[in-house]
Amino acid sequence: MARVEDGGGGGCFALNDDLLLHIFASYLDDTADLLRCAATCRRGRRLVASEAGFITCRRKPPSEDDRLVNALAVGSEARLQLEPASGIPPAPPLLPAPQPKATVLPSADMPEHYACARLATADLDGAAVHPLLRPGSAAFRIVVVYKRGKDTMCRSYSADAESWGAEGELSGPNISSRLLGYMGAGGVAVGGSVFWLSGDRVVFGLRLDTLQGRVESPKWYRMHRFSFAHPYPDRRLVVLPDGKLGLVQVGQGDAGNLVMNVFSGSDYEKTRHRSGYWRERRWDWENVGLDALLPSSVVSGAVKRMRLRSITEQDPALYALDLEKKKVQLMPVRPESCCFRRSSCSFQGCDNMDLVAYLTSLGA
Amino acid sequence: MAAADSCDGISTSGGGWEKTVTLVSSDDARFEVREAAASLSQTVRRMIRAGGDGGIPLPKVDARTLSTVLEYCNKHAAVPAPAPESSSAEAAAVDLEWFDKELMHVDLATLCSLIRAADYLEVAGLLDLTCKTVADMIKSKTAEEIRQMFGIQNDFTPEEEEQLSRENAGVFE
Repeated sequence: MARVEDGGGGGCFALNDDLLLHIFASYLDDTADLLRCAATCRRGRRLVASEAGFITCRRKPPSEDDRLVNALAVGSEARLQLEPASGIPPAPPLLPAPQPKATVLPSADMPEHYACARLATADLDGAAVHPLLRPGSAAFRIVVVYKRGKDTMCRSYSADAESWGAEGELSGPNISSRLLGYMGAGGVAVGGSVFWLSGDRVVFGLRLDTLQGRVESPKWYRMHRFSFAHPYPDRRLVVLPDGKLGLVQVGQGDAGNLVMNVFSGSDYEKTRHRSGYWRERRWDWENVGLDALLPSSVVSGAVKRMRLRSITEQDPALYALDLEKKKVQLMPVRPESCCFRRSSCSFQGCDNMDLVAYLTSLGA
Repeated sequence: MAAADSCDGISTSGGGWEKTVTLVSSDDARFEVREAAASLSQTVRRMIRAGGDGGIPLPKVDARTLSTVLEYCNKHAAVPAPAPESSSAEAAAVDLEWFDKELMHVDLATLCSLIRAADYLEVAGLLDLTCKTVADMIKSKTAEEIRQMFGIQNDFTPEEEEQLSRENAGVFE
């Protein structure tokens, strides 16, 4: 079906692709609704399939019904590592296929909302780790943060021991279950802590050696319009080439040009506060104009939006920005490779890998 | 519709001086609006800043749609910022919610032109409201119901359809 631009007509599908995607991505929380839209016509299917990664990344906290789908996040990341040759499994059914049993928390223990991160040995970089998060130097481990009653707990899965460790309680500010729900599985590790972005504003950090939690709400000013039709910023936490915690966002500059803002967080610094001294992070930023970096065929074409994508998506036109050399290259996407850290912009893995693969397969 | 021709006309209302601007729809209807209300549209705000005479042309929005958009802007810009948690703040919020609900009692074609207008004019609140309304109409409907509601042609081949329903068994009941 032809791309509908500003056509009239009476139908909802008289909206252009961008607006329709906006509705799909931001307002349809239930996967079943999304699949029904994909089943209405070819255009619906194409939209849902081609933008699956985007849609699932923009997800609101899972509802009770989505718990099973979300539970896949823990298992699927692990599976990618365990069976690198198989890559993303072919179109799994909506409900989880049998998982390698060790990778999912016992179902009775499955928390409603949780934040999750998969850490490779390199991510920890020899940093001290709390005894509860051992054992040993695993090939990778998964750290999950969740609520038990009013307490915030965490536990980790070790790939070596193929088992979950004991529960540890987090100290620090009390964070809500809702905040956790916005975090998903995209934690990044920097300097012995794991950081999650909750929604588009709040950063939650967990120190792996003391299990101390910390909440920050940095002022990332809106410096330009964000992606077309999306009033919300598309932001990701990344590990910058120099090993610092960073945040990237893309959007349009004043002249309609494509700009990526790269924020770089300093270590905590003592700053004067009304109630005494306060340790805060300073965020420096720079703008990377993407127009000059991308091939002219991309820029001159009617590119209306530029988004951050997870590199595990099967997208034939995925550009990776090397933050150090300010060079853009077309990435051959290898589904099994999750970590491009430090060599290029480390786009984080998508929250719901299986869901992405599934929705993408609709368009195959 | 407005009589003022200049983009920075001044009028009095409620005892205070308030700046107004004139917006011109695609079918040449002129609307005089308070600048505070018109500025809810980021597109208009940029054009005000850029300056110019004879009204701000909005070639992508017709008069009917623009009047609804401006109804929304007037209402939402009129809300003062009272102290939070005061009873008047609560009442204002409830009133606004009712207003929004009433505004969304329109047919689908109107709703879609409102979405396009809100997107072009960059009125974030209205875009959110209209998209949410359309999403609510989609929720919990079968594929066939969605097709009927939105007048979509089913362009799948029978084989594709069978494959879809096989893959998604349980989802489409």
